[in-house]
Amino acid sequence: MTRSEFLTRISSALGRQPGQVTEEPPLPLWCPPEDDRQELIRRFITEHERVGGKVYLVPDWAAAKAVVVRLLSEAGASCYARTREELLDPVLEGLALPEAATAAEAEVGVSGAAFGLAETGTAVLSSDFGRLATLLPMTHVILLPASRLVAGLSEVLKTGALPSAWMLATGPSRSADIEGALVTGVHGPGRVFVVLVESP
Amino acid sequence: MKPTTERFLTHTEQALQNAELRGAVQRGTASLAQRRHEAVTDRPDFEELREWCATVKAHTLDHLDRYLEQFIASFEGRGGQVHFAADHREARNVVAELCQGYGVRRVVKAKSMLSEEIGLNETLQGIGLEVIETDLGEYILQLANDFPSHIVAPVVHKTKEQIARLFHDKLGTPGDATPEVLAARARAILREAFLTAELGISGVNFAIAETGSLVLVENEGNIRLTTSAPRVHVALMGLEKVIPRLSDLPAFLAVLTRSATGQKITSYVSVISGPKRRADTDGPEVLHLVIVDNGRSAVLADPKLRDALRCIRCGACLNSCPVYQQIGGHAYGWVYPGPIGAVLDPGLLGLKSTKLLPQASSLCGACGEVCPVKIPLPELLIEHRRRSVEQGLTATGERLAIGAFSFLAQRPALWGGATVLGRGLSQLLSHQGYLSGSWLPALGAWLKERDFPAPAKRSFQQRWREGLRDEK
Repeated sequence: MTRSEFLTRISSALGRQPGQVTEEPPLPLWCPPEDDRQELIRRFITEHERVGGKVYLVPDWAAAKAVVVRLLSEAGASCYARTREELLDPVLEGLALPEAATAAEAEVGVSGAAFGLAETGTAVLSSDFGRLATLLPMTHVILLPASRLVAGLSEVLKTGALPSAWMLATGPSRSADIEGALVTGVHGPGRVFVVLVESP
Repeated sequence: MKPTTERFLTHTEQALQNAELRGAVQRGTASLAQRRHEAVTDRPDFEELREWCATVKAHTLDHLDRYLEQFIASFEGRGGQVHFAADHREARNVVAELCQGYGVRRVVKAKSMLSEEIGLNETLQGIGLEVIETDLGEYILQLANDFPSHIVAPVVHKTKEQIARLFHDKLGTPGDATPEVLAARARAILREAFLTAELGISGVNFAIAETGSLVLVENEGNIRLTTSAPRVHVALMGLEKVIPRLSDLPAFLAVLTRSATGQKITSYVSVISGPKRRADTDGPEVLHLVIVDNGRSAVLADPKLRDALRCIRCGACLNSCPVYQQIGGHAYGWVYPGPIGAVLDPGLLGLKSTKLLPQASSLCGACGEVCPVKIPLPELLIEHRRRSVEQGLTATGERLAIGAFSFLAQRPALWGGATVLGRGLSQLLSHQGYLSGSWLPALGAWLKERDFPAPAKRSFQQRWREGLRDEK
């Protein structure tokens, strides 16, 4: 079926000519911004850990690096995958571990979040920096500067930025398809760590 | 999928005799309903959100021509390609041609009820493709050669013991493997599929008119893999999936995930705006979207039924329905079961073959109360029943009985006589204070399932005339 046949079908179902002027949609729900950084941090940690993730709140990038090194070693990783976010460079610089040739081989994926949503404990990842490194490895370590925390999704969408994919990730991959039993790590990472860095 | 809605009564009888199925469905729906309840209570403005989402969806449907046009222009502006399908045949042919055009051999699929509706897997397998379902529930069903019985929890009708036995027979896991072991086995097998498939097929939860974005909601990560790993992504959507603006999305997500699984947000939400860009390191090189009608424009044209197209496929009405809880989804005989199925299926397939579905309700109203977009489900069930009568689709016995009742009820003298006669007859059927008469034609089936108290020997009016009025 062609486009015009398809659209004409819909217009005639609605009983009008195509392109006829019509009324506007109801106004979007207004979402109050939340500016208190400490409150955003507290809520992000609570919500993210409620769904089975783990948050490390660290004061600066040196401390962040120490946490990442420890997580890589605890995961028994022989190599890691990473996204192209520049903020990862100092953290991953001089690591004893090699970077994996493909994300599929890595036990751990390290990424940076474009935003953190306090309301749901969500890391907002951008396809600009790569998708599979955040998805294929069983362990996912997300670096999130506290300055990137916002109250909720509305504030991300308001920026107008639209990469080929915004990927909202909240805790580990999970399924309850087998008689409601919660299983983690079904297709995506089963272990998710957020390193929340307080200093800019 | 070929509808078998006409055999609803046979299906129901089979389901009611299947204790394993009933146990699994009752546990599954009770747990989902409980989680929904907690998540909704946790959000004090949920009623306000629901009301707003209902209004926005209704508005969008009333102006769907405009929003679809806007959506298509935005989607193409971001490098996506759009195809249109009038019915299930056109829809599956479009996908089959795309697969052939790209020389594809292996296809991974994320969960899509629309793909079930149009019978996509059979078509693709028919042209020699390997089609792999990747949602854990859908993968289990594919192994079992079964089909989904619930919009959100597709395999809710199976127990974990049944699934463990299935994996044991097909994949060699231990016969008493835990859900963790089963999921890990599926992960390993499907991981290989994701990395070798040339094309991924997904559904769509929301299509944003303003930006041409597709929104996909999930917990496992199989949708992200399906839409990221293969070279080609083909998305399928019903024409009713559009919402106007990007800023509308947070409210719709909030009601969808709470209503479906009781989550504040699911593990993953993808907002896809076009294929991979030049600077991107991964993602699909091409993005196709097939917009499917398959009966929807007829529902849109029906001023009463149009509301049913607001549905965002959360499954809350299934979980709340006392009929669904007893018989599960397969009994309904098509892709969309439960109250929304009983409303939507007659719209999409015609009332003639689906007339029994709207009868499968006690009209308790629970479905209408939980619907996140306030579809007036009980009213629409009654509307279908009304149309069944109008179109002469009800059983002859029922028509005669209602006709006789209506005739008598309009004539007080005859009515009085008939009640005296009826009371006399009912005394003959009375057994220990209850009516018994399972041997009776028509009435017998009804009495077999119910304890109906026998009427008193003398009517109230009789007793009143005989002096009840003077008793203190």
